[in-house]
Amino acid sequence: MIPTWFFILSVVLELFIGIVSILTALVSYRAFRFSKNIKIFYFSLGFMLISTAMFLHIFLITLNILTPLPARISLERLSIDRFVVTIFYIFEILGFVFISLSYVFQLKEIALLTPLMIINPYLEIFVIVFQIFISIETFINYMNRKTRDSLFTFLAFLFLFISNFFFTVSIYHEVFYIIGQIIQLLSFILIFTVIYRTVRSK
Amino acid sequence: MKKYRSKLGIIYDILKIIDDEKEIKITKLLSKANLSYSRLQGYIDYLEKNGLIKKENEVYKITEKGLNFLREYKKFENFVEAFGLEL
Repeated sequence: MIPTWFFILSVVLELFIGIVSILTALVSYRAFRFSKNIKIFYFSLGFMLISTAMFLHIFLITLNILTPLPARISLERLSIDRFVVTIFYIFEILGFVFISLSYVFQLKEIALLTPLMIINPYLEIFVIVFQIFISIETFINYMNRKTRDSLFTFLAFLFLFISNFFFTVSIYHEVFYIIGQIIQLLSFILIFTVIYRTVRSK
Repeated sequence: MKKYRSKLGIIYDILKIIDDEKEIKITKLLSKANLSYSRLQGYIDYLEKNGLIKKENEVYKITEKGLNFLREYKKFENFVEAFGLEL
């Protein structure tokens, strides 16, 4: 659950995350246009879907900020909220599916992990499973390359996984949602740093 | 394990060799590119046709477009490698 006082800050944080996701999608799309490599297209599509999910979430939070409390809990509004949240999860899960696919296409042996991704029926846990998979992939990449950028990428996906864990347990206490948002922000700052460092490099 | 070179990777390698040497004869390029003569000739034709290299007095030189390709390749390679992917 999101504490009411955190609504506006949450919009700002998710706006940043949405923009970094779009940037990642655009740079990787340019890399796809350059290389015509389909796995990079999946990677780009994944981030585009995640950014769309983020903007849907921002729309939902903004709607809640602008709606007075009695109207916010009307049946009609709750059904709109439920619809938008469902679309948000569909986009987020598809986003991580496509990012995972880009790794599966690259390393055939890791494809053995894919059956794990369809075990759990709970949507948030679905996302977490994909994030664990991507974290493992980026960790392997870091161990192979030992570069600062690969470390940042691994940490970014690790933080993303941890943040989603906090979002899942936020049903028990609001503070977990805030912690999740902050960790998610750190994750996207790291991704932004990687984009900045690599795109600006001569 | 021997690393598989994509077509794009081979093009990068050839251009990099030509750029490092400034100008190069095909015999020297053949020894450095680790390709058969027919495959190398195919790539040379492709690069010339697309304006990435030019032939002057039996030596090959990289063009501005070729240099731009090298920069772009390196930039995108760094980006995707940071995420554990390959171009």
